Formats: sequence, C-alpha cells, structure tokens
Amino acid sequence: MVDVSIAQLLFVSFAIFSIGAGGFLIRKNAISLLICLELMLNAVNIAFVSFSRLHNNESGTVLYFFVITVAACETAVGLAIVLNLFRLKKNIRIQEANALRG
Amino acid sequence: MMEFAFYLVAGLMLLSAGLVAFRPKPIESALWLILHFFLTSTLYVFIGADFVAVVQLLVYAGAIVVLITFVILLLNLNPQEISGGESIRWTSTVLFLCSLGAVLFCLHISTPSLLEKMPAPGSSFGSIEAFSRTMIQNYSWSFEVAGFLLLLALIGVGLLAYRRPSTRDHSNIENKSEAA
Repeated sequence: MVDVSIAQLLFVSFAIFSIGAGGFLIRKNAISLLICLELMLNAVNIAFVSFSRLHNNESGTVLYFFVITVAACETAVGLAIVLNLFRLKKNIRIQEANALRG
Repeated sequence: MMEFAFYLVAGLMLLSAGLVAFRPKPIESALWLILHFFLTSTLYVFIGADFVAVVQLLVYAGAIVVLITFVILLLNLNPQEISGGESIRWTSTVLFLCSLGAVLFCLHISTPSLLEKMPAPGSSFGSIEAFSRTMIQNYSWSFEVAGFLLLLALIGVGLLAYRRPSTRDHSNIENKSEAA
C-alpha cells in the first residue's frame, strides 16, 4: 500500500475525466465516442474508490460496482445502436446520424 | 520507492488515456484502453482496494473492451471512413485548461487537508467480505435493481440487434415483385 494524499488521486481522476471529455467532444466516430465515455466513467470510479479509502467506508466501493454495471449496459446498448447506424448509413460518422433532426 | 511507483503508474495512466482519446483508429484506442484499465487496476492495488482491482480487470478489461473490439471487427469499416473531420478549437482548449487550473488552485487554497497523507484503512478494507457485507446489508434493494437493469439491457440489445427476416433482403423482394 502506498502513502498518497487524496489530492493526488483526485488529480489523476480529474485529468483522466478531462481527457475523456475532450476526446468525446472532438471525435467524430461513434465507437470512439463510446470508448471516451468508458474513460470518463473509469475516472469517476477512481474518485469513488479513493474517497472510500479515505473515509474507510465500503459504500464508495459499492457505488463503484453499480457504476460498472451501468457502464456495461451502456456499452452493450450503445454498440447495438452503432450496429444499426452502420446498417442504415454504411458508416458510423456521427455527422450523418441526423435522422431525428427533422 | 513506492511513491515513485505511484507517480510512474499515474503518468502512464494519463499517457494511455491521451492515446485512447486521440489515436485516429478505434481499434488502436481499444487496445490502449486495455493498458489503461490494467494501470487503473494497479492504482487500486496501491490504495488497498484489492477486490475492486480484480473486478476492474475482469469486467472492464475482460468483458467491455472485448465487446468493443468485437464490434469494431464486425463492422469492418473502410480505412478512409474511420477518421477525419476532427478539429481542435485551441481557444476553447486554452480557456478550459485555465479554468481547470483556477478551480484546482482555489481547492488547494481552501482545503489544505486534501494534501495530507491518507490514514491507514481498517484491516478489512478492500476485502470481499467487507464489500459484500456492506452491499447485502445496506444496498440489497439497489443490488436487485442493478440486476434488473442488466436484464433490461439484455432484452434491449436483443431487440436492437435483431434483424427481421422480412426486411433482410428488401431490395430482392422489391425486384421480385417488379418482375412479377
């Protein structure tokens, strides 16, 4: 076990979240968007587990468990939507996914 | 020594996160994501959350990345269709980084206790027993709801990915009806 402060862990979490958010805003590819979303959820998980360790309370770890459950569901449903988008448009560029724009 | 290991792992995590977010091809992003999840698992071991580290490897690196990789291989995109069109707006990026620095600086000024070393956790912290006691005793209802959510996602993915036989060869059917 390493002696670290909560600030170091939170900085790692915050930086990874920012990288994921930047990638999510910049990328134009539906699968890359899902991957960046995973990155952001992972950063949030690091913060949950760090606070769980700081307060010596397992509730943060339980929350981590629920976050990965939702992340798994979100990835599966998102990839199924990407699959349907590919069948419809023959590519997965999100600029062309404008069927709901009207 | 362990401090150095922590900084090494944290730096590699940031590096791999940057590669995940900004490599042009999705398959490269997915492969760097595996490295990122391994390093995250190492970080969890460093802070004493052993069960979480194992779950991280099993669920994220073992299931989710494999699912993403499988779909990338299934789609079989043209190389020229994969990337392009990305534009980084440098003004917004600089503004974002400045505001981020301001927030971190204010946090540093207001709560210096964040920089103290964390106290040693209880002996059972991170064990599967402590985790499951908390989950079953305090969060059993949420646990059931999470299971129900997984079931709903399973049904939803089945419905979304299912291709109805009547619409599968739509063009062929139209050709046949025209021929008839």
